[in-house]
Amino acid sequence: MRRLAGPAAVAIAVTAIWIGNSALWTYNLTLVGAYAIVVIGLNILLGYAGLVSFAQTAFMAVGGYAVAILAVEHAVNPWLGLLLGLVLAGVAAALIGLVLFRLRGHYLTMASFALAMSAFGYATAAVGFTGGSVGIAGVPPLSIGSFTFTDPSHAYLLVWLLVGLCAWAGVRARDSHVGRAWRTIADNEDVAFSLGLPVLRYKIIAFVIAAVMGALGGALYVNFTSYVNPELYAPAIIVNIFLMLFLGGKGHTLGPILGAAIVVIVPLQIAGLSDIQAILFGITLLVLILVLPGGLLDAASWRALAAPVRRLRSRERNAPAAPVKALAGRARR
Amino acid sequence: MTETAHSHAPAALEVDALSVRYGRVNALNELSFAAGRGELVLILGTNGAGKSSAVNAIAGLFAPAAGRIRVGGKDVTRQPAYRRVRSGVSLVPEGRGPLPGISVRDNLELGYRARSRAKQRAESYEDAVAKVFELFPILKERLKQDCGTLSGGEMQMLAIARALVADPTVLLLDEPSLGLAPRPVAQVYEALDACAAAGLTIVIIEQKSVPLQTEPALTLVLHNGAVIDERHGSRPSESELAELYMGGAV
Repeated sequence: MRRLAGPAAVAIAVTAIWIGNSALWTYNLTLVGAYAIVVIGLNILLGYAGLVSFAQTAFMAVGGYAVAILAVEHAVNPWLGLLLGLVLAGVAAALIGLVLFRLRGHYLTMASFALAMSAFGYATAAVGFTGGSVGIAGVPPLSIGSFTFTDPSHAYLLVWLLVGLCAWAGVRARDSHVGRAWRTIADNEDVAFSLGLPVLRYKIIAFVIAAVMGALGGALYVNFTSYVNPELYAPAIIVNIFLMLFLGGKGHTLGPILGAAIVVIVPLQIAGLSDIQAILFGITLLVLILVLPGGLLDAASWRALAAPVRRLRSRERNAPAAPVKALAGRARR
Repeated sequence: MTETAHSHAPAALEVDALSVRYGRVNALNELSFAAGRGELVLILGTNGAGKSSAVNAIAGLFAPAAGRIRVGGKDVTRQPAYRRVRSGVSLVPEGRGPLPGISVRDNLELGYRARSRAKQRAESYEDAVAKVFELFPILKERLKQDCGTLSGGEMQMLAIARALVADPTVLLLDEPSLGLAPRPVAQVYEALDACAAAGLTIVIIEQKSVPLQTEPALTLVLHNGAVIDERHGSRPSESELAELYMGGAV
């Protein structure tokens, strides 16, 4: 069943468009798809390899700005711009990874946060290169020959096709020797070493895949909305992306897609949310990690959540009158 | 130095003045010993004696401050941990190294993949696994199970099996009896006896005496990073060990 996750995602999305058949929904769901790709990448890094990196927005920025700058300033074909963005993100991730993964745990996370902040800071400050906080407008849509993905439903199909492709690639990677190595590293790095796994290499592989997917999502977003500015890669976006992952459930194939859908669509449906969105998302993430750490798709987390209720019920039903108190006292402890 | 060090063939494992430092703390001071093929080395000591530092350094988890480590005559001191497995050194880490979420089968496959290509060609995965099932039949029944659901004893057996399918020449075990009931400890040591009889060189570190049938070729007692007792072909009794631990000097 898990192998079908990628195709299933595409099928659901394609069906959804015919059911919805509204321009607004097509637009929203395309954005969901772009974010889903970013989060699928993060899922590989965090969900499989257990590496907590905040740098995903930095690689989104690499993809987004590569497409925008190359297409607008240098009239490069958007496809080529997209491709160069992915290559740039991948190479950058490999080089940064060599240094970054000398750190472990909290230190790694802090350094990755610095990376995300520098990308955001640079995009804002380098007015001549990135357009500063104004950004770059008029990014042309992707096209094949004379066929352009201007029509939202075409862009939608393209994005969701890539979502399916990335989800499938993620599943393939997870079930391969590399995926097993990632899980081993996530569980216990010393064991990974003692099993002869080149830990640094596997970490960098995960980081590069995550970066390329981050850049792909970031580039598609910019291509589709035709506009890039630093706010797309602001610190608040990091929270959003992590919320997407933890909502759906890290380590679950469809988790990133479900999470992206909820985090993108819910604020659009509830008017007046934008003022308190950042607070709301932050609190949701906190509550989620405390209450349902495995996310919405994680059966084990739900069972753990329901366990006290079930215990209470079965006690009411089964326990004879007298020993109930003693039992209750023990259970509460 | 044991006798093997003087014979013509190089010792399976040779540790020469190995020192480990954590910052300014000397965890291990110039440890030297050698072990021939099929020989057993038992290193005893209390917490903080430097036992784990010794085996972790031999396994390559960190670089020693000084000293040399040779495996079959080849110097592996500067080799990173993941290559050292291919040179024939496998470590069964302290605490058994459970990998929750990973099945018993995948654990064994990880172990097998740690072999060099030549060793993979020499013996198929099936044959390698069949051999460890002879030692630990219970693992065959648990094959599809998540290793996080195994009992402590079963996990210890899996950790050893995982190391064995890498086809090591030297097996290092960091307190294999820790936290186990007497029966699984006996089972584990029975298997280690069989491995030694089959020609594997084994280094075991423990805090107290263990139910080994094979008499260790060498027993070292460490205290504060230094060897305080060294015996060839015999072991200190429990009362002697207690005295060594309490006194800290011979």
